[in-house]
Formats: sequence, structure tokens, C-alpha cells
Amino acid sequence: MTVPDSMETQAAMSEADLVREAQSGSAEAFERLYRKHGRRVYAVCLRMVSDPDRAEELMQDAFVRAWNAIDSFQHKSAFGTWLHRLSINVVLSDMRTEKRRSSRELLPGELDEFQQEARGAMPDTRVDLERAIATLPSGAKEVLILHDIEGYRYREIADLIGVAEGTVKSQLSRARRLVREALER
Amino acid sequence: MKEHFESHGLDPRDEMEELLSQYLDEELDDETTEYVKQRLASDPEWQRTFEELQITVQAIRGLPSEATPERELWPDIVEAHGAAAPAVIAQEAKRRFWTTPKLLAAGLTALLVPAAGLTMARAYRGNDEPVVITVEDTGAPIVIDIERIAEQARRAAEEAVRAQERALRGRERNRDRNRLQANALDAMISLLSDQDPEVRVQAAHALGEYESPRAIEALGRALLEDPVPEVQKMAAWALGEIENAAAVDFLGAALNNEELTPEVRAMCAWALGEIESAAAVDWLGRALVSGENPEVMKQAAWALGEIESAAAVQFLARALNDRRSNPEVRKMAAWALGEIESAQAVDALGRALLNDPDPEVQHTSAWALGEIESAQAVDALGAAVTSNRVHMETRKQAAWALGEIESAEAVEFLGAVLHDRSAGSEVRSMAAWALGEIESAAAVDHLVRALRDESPEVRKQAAWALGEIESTAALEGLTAAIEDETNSEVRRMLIWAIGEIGN
Repeated sequence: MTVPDSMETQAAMSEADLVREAQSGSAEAFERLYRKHGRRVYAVCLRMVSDPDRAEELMQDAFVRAWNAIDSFQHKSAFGTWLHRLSINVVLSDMRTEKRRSSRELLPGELDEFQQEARGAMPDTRVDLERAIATLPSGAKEVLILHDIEGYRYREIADLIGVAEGTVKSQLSRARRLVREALER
Repeated sequence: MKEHFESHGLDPRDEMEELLSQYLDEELDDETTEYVKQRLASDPEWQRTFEELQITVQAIRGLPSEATPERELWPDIVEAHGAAAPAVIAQEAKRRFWTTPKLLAAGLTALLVPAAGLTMARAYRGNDEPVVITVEDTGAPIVIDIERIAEQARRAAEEAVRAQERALRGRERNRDRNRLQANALDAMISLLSDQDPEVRVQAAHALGEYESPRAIEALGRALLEDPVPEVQKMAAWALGEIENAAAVDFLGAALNNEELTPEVRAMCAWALGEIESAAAVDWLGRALVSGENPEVMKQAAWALGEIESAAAVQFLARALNDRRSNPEVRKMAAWALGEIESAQAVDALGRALLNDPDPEVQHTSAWALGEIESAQAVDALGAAVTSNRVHMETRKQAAWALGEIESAEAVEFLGAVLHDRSAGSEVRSMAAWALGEIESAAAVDHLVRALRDESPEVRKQAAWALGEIESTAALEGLTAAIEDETNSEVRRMLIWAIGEIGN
């Protein structure tokens, strides 16, 4: 559909050119795409796993996969949307494996470390809120981040994590309640 | 109604909280929305819970959507991407070898797998004779060239070793590069105090290229204290390139300093839009609503759209509805509100859509309302789409927005447009598309009538919409339309729609 001629469309046009260059093998073009989108991908990895080292590994994995699969990008959506979805899939699939290995919660020491590093990575973040989100049970945390921070809709989240839409609704409500209660404490 | 919501076996309290959560997201149907509104109006405790929920969610939405990793990861990505190469070669080797479809015999796999190891490859080297086996059902001999498999495996392993060496060299180079860059950075920072303004401009430019947060403070000081506008402007640009929230207060203060030139201040707004930190909203909002210069205000509106924080809605709404402001500023404000996608902007956008004297502002407002996808916008969009006084492009955009919102309340408006010849075929066609998106059976009669429209595009879109709605009430009209239809594309769509309904 037509979008008004705005800075957004101009920016999107130059990005589409960059993606085409990367598809023809230009590493420089892919690096520019990485510079443009890396910080957003890192933020979602960091929040999802609440562990800066693991978040860096996941971000790296997401970009390597995106680079390897860039030929399959059809230009039907914005590159950022495609990349972001791919990254979220990388994170979710890693979290599933991690969960299978052991269903571990964050230890208090790890939480302090995360809190400190989150402040460095996102200087204007609200640390108490990040801490409350980091301690959510993983299902509720995924849904909250995907909906309230990343802006996905119920239906999209259900598809992404492979659960019913009803589960997304109840997990989101639960997550919001837990965050609210944590902030009141 | 109450019983209905409390019949899922959940604690009624949890259930009500879940409804409030969905109500906040505007994800409830009309009936349930009404129920929740009544509960909130009659129960102060739930009202308080809802307000707390709103505040919590608003705070979560205001969290930054970007973060900077502690390490520079690009070299590792290049390294890992390069290391994928041997796998590709091995894959290639496999593909070339497995061409005979009869190679399902497990024995072959057993031969191929150990052959991939370099040690095994060496062990086979002495054997010049190819192994011959026979597949039972055809009796055709299949030749396994062990020497060739070993060669492929050797190549893959050698490539892996080379990739490893490249990676080690890369890491070494990277360390050297980091050291050199740190020295250069210090030199550039000290050159920001050079006596020659040209040198200071160049140094600020170089610091922007390095994108290192270490330069923020020096650039911030140059922005606020350097007497030369060119230096200030380049410092603002560099801070935008660094994209770090630590620069927000420097840029915000400069943006609102009327003594600086409009070019410098517009560059500050641009930089804040690049940084995309919610902490910049107040600075930008102030520049937008109390500013005088259209370029600065326009750039501030753009930056607020980039940041996408709901806290910016109040500023953007004021700028949008202020007729004294420049139309370009109003247009950018409408665009930004569409980016933010907050339902709080619906009233302001609706007013601009119907009353702004500039057609482009109206058009952008219609687009923004479609992005927000709130049912509260249906009345304003319906009024625009059916009005002969509204510009044709805007009516088309309003029809698109109604299709995005997907509310059944829009059916009557879109139905009326569908039969309004003065609306033009593009608007009618978009109305038919929107009705297909809404998928309400109430649109069937309107769409069946549109199968007789003079424009083939409208007829085709109406047939598509009926296929989407999948109501058997459309079958008679679709079947009758096929008989009279002369356009082959429309005929194909009619047949497709009938098939969909049968599904």
C-alpha cells in the first residue's frame, strides 16, 4: 500500500539498495546493515536471555545466519523486519535448548551483574524495570518483550513461539501483573 | 455477560486482569469492551488496578529498543561467516556424489561418512581400484570412487584449516587496529580545541566516522561552547553518528538554545532521531511546540517519529492541529504519529484528516490512522472516504486505512463509497479491497452490486473480497456475474471466489 513520500521511504530505498549489494556479495554492504540494525538485535537478545555474554553470542549467530541466508530475502518486507524475526527465532530456539538442558532461573549474583551491564549497554534504561523483567518466568518474559517492547501482535507472537493465541493473552497479563508487583515492592 | 467471562475455570480475578490487559491493547471485541468499561466505571478498585497497569505498560514501552554490546562483534561475524565455507564445499561434494537415485543403500552411507575424515582418506589412498557394488533391484553397478571422496574430504579439511588461520590473523589484525584507533581518537579529541576552525570541523567529522562513545563529552562541549556554527553543526552530526544515549542532554540543550543557528539546531534534532532514545522526547517536544523555525520543528517531528515513544504523542498532536505551523511540520507530525502507532493520537489525526487545509497533511493523517489500526478512527475515516470535498488520493488512503483497521463498523461507509461513481474507480476499488479485509458478511450485498461496476478493476477487487468473506449468500451473485463478464481476469477472480466459498 502507498505510504506517504517521507524520510522513511527514502531511508527504506537506500536500505533496499544496500541489501541488493550484500546479496551480490558485498561484505561492506552487509557490514553497513549490521551497523544499522545490530543494536536493536542486541537489545532483544539481551533482554530475552538476561546475560550479556550469551546475548553477544546470539547476536553474532543471528547475523551469521542472516548473512548466509541473505539470498533468500525477497524484498517483500523491510529488511529490518526480516532480520529481527530471524534473530528472535535464533533466540527462541536457543532458549528452548537451554530450557531442555536445565530449567535454571537467574541467581541473585547473575542478576546484579546483568543489571550493571544493562546500564552500560542502555544508559537511559530504567534499571528496576529491567530487573523485574529479567526475573520473570521465561514464557511470560518472552511474550512481554515481544509484545510490549518489540511491538508484535498477539497472533504474530503465537506463531513465533508456537502456542495458542489464548496462551499469549494470559501469559502477557501474568507478566504485566508480576512486573507491577515487583515494582511495588 | 459476567458469567460468560467467568466460565473458563480460571480465577475470576485473573480473568478480569486478563480482560483489562487486552482492553489496554484494544484487542477485545465491541461487546467485551463495553463490559470492561462498565466494570471499570462501577468498581473503583478495578479502575485503580487498570491505572496501575497502564502506567506499568507505558514504562515498559518506554524502555530503549537498542543496546550496545560491550565488544565489537563484527570481526567475529566475518570470521564465522568465512568459516561456513568448508561446510559448503563438503555439501557440494556430497551433492555431486549422490546423484544416482538408487543410492539408498545404507552401506553406501557407511562408506561415505568415514571417508569424510582426513585419517580415513589417507588410509584409502593406497587403493587405486574403485569399489563396485550392485543395487539389488536393477542389477546396475554403481562405482564408488574412494579416491575422489578422499580428495573432496581433503579439500574440505584444508579449507577449514585455512579458514582457521585467516580467523587467527583477523583477530591479530583487529587487536592492532583497535590500538591504532584508540591513539587516533585521542589525537582527534585534542584537535577539537585547535585554534583553526577548519581543523576543528575536520576533527569533529573524523570523530563521527569513528563512532566511538569516548568522544561524546568532547563533542558535546564543542557543540555547546565552540563559537563557530560549522564546528557546532559537525559536532552535532558526529554525535548522531555515534548513536549513544549519553549524548542526549548535550543535543537537547543545543536544540533548544535559540542563540544557535537553525541549521545547527536542525542537525541536533536529526542526531536525536538517530540515537532514538526516549530520554530525548521532552527536549524534542519542547522544540516542536515552542519553536519558530519550520526546519527545526520538522526535523524534531521526524526524530520523534523515529524514537516511537508514546510520550511524544501530546507534542506531536499539538503541532499537527496548530494551523499556524508550517504544513511541512504538520505533515511530518502526522507521519510521526503513524510511526508511534498509539491510539491516543486518533483524535488529533481525525481532526487533521477532516479539517486541515493542506491535502498532503490530510493524506498523511489517513495513512497514520491506518497504521494505528484503532477502531476509534472509523468515524473520521468514514467521513473522509465518503466526502466529495476530500481530495481523491486522501479518500483512497482512508479506504486503505479502514481495511487495515478491519472493523465491521466501517462496512456502511465503504459500501456507500462502492456505489458512489463520483469517488473514482481507484477509490471504489480500494473500498472493495477494504471490505475483503474486514471480512464481514454485512458487506456481501454491496460487493455483489459492485460486480456490475463499470470498471473491471473494481469488479475484480469485489470478486476477490467476496472470496475472502466466504459467505454462501454471495454464490448466486457471483455465478450470475460470470455469465455476463467479458474481462478474462475478472472471470478468473469470480471463479476463484466461488471456489473459496465452497471450501
